[in-house]
Amino acid sequence: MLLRAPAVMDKMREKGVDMKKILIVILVCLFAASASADVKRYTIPVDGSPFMGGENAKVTIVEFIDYQ
Amino acid sequence: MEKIEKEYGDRVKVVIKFYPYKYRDYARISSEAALAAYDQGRFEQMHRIMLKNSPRLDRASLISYAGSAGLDVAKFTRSIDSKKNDRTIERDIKLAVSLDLYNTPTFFINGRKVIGNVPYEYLKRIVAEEMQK
Repeated sequence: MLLRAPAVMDKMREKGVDMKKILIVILVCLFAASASADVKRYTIPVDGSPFMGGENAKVTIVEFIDYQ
Repeated sequence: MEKIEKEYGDRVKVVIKFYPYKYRDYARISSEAALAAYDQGRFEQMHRIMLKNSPRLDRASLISYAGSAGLDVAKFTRSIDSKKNDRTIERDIKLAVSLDLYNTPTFFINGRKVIGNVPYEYLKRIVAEEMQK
């Protein structure tokens, strides 16, 4: 596929396809995809586990711990 | 994490789940000790003492820490010897396994996973981001 890329691009140029425009479209799509990609969040049940700090705090940190 | 706890106080809630490594001698009994302290309402005190004295976490040491943490030592000893909180520890281990955790500590900050002993600045950045949401 990669070996044929120059040939494919030549053919596209022949047919009047603007390579620059295509490149810009691809870049915009990638940027949009990464901008909308949200950080992954796990739902961790916390009932019955000991906690420190504020019970109704805005930020909850669950720590999996090994004391040793 | 201790720095984060000091800095944010009641603005964060730090929930502790136990993931003792099977092949470390005192990992499991330490978890029992922490929960025994929780039963007596002195979890944080015991938690801090154990972190400070790790890896000296054999049964005799734990019993002496329990005394320092202000616990009823007889009750504490019965609790760890009888593995009173085994079910909670098993539950936490099952949860950890279901989440594919392979390292401790692993943190979930409003559900965002952070693996290992990352620098304070990194934790702070994520906590600060979550505070602003």
